[in-house]
Amino acid sequence: MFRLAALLALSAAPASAQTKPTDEAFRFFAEEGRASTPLKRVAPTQGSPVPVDVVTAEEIAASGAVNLWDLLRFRVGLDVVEGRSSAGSNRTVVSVRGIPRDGIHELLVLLDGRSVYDPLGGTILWERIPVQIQDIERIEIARGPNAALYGSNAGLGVINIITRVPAAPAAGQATVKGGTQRLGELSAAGEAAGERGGLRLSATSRDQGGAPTAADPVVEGHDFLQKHTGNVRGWTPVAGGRLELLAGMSQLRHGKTITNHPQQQDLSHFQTLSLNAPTGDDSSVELRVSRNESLAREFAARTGLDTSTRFWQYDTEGFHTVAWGGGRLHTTYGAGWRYAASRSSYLYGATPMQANRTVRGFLHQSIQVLPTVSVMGGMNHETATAGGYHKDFQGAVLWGPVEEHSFRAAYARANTKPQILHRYADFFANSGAVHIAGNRNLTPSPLTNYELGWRGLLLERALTLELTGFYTEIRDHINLDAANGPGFFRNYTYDNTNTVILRGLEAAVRWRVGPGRSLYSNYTQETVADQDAHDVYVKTTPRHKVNLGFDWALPLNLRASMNAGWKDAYLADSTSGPAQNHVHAFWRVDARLGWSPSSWLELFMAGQNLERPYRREYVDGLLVPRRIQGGATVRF
Amino acid sequence: MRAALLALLLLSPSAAFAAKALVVLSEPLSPSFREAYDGFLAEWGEPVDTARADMPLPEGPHEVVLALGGRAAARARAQERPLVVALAPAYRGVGRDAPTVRVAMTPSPERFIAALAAAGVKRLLAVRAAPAEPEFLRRAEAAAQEAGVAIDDRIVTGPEAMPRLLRRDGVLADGIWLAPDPASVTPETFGAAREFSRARAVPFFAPAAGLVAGEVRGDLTVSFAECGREAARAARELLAGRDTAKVVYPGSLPAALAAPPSTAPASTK
Repeated sequence: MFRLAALLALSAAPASAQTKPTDEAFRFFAEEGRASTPLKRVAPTQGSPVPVDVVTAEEIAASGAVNLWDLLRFRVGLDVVEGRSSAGSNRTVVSVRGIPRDGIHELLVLLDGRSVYDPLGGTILWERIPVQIQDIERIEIARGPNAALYGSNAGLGVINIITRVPAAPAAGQATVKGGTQRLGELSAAGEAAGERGGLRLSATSRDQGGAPTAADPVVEGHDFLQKHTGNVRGWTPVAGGRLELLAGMSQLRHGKTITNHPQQQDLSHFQTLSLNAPTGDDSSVELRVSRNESLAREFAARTGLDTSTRFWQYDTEGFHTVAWGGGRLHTTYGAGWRYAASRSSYLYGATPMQANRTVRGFLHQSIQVLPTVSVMGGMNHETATAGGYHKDFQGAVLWGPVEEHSFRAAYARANTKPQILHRYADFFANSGAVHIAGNRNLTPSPLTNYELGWRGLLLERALTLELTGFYTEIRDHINLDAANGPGFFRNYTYDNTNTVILRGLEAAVRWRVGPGRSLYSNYTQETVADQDAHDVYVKTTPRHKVNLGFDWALPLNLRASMNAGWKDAYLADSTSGPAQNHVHAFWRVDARLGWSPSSWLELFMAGQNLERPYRREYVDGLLVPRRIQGGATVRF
Repeated sequence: MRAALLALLLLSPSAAFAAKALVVLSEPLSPSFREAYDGFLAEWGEPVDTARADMPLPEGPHEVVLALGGRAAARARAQERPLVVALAPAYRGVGRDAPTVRVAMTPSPERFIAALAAAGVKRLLAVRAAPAEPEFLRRAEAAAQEAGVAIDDRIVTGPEAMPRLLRRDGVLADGIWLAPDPASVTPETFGAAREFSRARAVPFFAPAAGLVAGEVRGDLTVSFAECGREAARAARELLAGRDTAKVVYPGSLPAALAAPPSTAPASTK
């Protein structure tokens, strides 16, 4: 009877005019938008157990970035240190939640879901990642441990670089760019797509001079770069889903600090075949098989040593995602296998080839226990011949008491496993004065993380606010420490003796004022404590970082963007040498101005590090200069 | 007041009626779903049982289930009863043994092309996030050929990709339509399409009736109430055992199937 009365009263009542029709229509699509997320779920995902920051295509286009890592500057919780290292092709350090150093073992970077983490040295070689900025659709930055889904090394964060799927019937673009530091770059891409499939081809060629040297900034360093990259992405519909081929190749030639010849040459290529298919309205399966190979070759004329290394890897992963229980339960489970091998008579002494096999299985479950409360948890079991066995866990509670606001409490345990180099290294550095030895008794380093967070949307979803606090403890941390050995060398080896504690606060606000107009600001506070008091952990993390900026469409088809970041003082240090430098607190300003006189043409000017002619960020004797570029993009 | 009453209705113990139809709503308090619900009731003309998508569905002798919204469709699809899905443009009904009908959020392809021709559009830029249904495309192409209208169907891979597409590709169009596609309709993409329309002085056809305002035209949209009414007609077709198309377009089924007005609850339309 009550229901009947309510129904009749409802039917007779006048329609409410409290909500503007436009807002309500957008809200409707937003509700449905959550129902068609990249997880291929009809039901919404109810949030993430870790904070996620997305670098959108619009932000990428507005950034004016020349290097991939410049897209990650100015983001909350991240630190980017550019060091044109004389020790190899890894020209930058990107860290999430602290301890930036030349080998970031606890960060996982994915390219379209495939790991580009280098298991040889246990780090990310950013310059070698075979992707072009013109192909990137978005970058998702998940801060905090996510090893329950992604496996080892996803301790402090996961960065997923997602490239463009060819979708236009016929489209293309070409960009020519030139600037200071003798920069010259030409890039082009073309794509075609229809009902039977799509194909995109892209290529970039860059030539760039060296950076100023610390001893005399007027003198150009010998770290020049010649880089050529090509990518192909094609898809065809299969079984209601999509079968994709992704492949790419990157060739780098760069100088080193001794002689102005391309003393080092890197050749990397990869091939990935993936199938993403629905297995029902509420479930999908993804299978991926990949291969990649990298050859780093150093010209031996100077030292007489052949320091070449070859690294190759096969990996496969499959997982099934299903929503059940009326959409209140979401399950993801899968397995992965990886074979990684490295050959180097320089790095491994008498046994030049070393290999590592990794097998893992994972399960992740989320449950909506109340309309406003979801709990989720996951586990990963993983074993590797060079890394041992470990288990990773994740648990989180999400509470959304008010529409558009959610609170998060999360616990996670994630392991960082030792890599090939950590176990099998046997080489001399610093002109033969230092000997580095691997340690076969290394075990995975367990990382435990606790965090609380809030995310809110205001002003009709135009204003996003985010606040996160975290406490992280890494035990049995893998360090390079002095060791006993022959007296005429300085001997170092890897050990598991350290404990590192990270604490931090992350706050971010972004206001999308309208199409092509947005403002943002974020603040990061991080402190690091270390049982063994290594400078490279305790002092290299700036305690405070503040970033702010805008992207603004102007009249006359002009578009301006600016990013400014302030970083507290820190110690520039590395694990590969004794040098240290104190870096004072500084502001960095990047800006870009674009003008589109017609829909097929854009002319632009961009600059990085604009407020100073040069500055030191790292310890390698090279400085980061002010850079200014100009160019044009033609689209059809 | 209406929202509170509907909430009370949906939160109260179910199965008070031995209703033939069960209506599952994704968002009971949302005016969009309320409008479709009202449209359904007006056309259906009988009491119904209702349920929320985030709660277990009530047991009952329901002969047909109506799901309003994607989450409601996900909740209701396990039911071994005929299912009508509306206001769920991302829903693709596969894998069910029981009959399933989806109510589209666009007019029929023939009405769609006729509306374009009437608006004087010769080349429409259609922006969507997922490929159009083959049946819609086939019929639309046939009608377009006859009417001398070309449709430039573009797929964007996310909301961020759309402004880029418009800057790059849209110069030849004399009209733009944002398909009612959850992954592509946001305030940002809507604003970008409107700016495109203003800059080139071409008509902008809205993806939903609630977005029609000012210079944004509603020629290619159907209202949520129309979707609800069409869902009622489709439900009656299913109960009558007639062979109904898997996708129906508002206005495509004969209105004669509707219940007599005297038996229908008062409509707010």
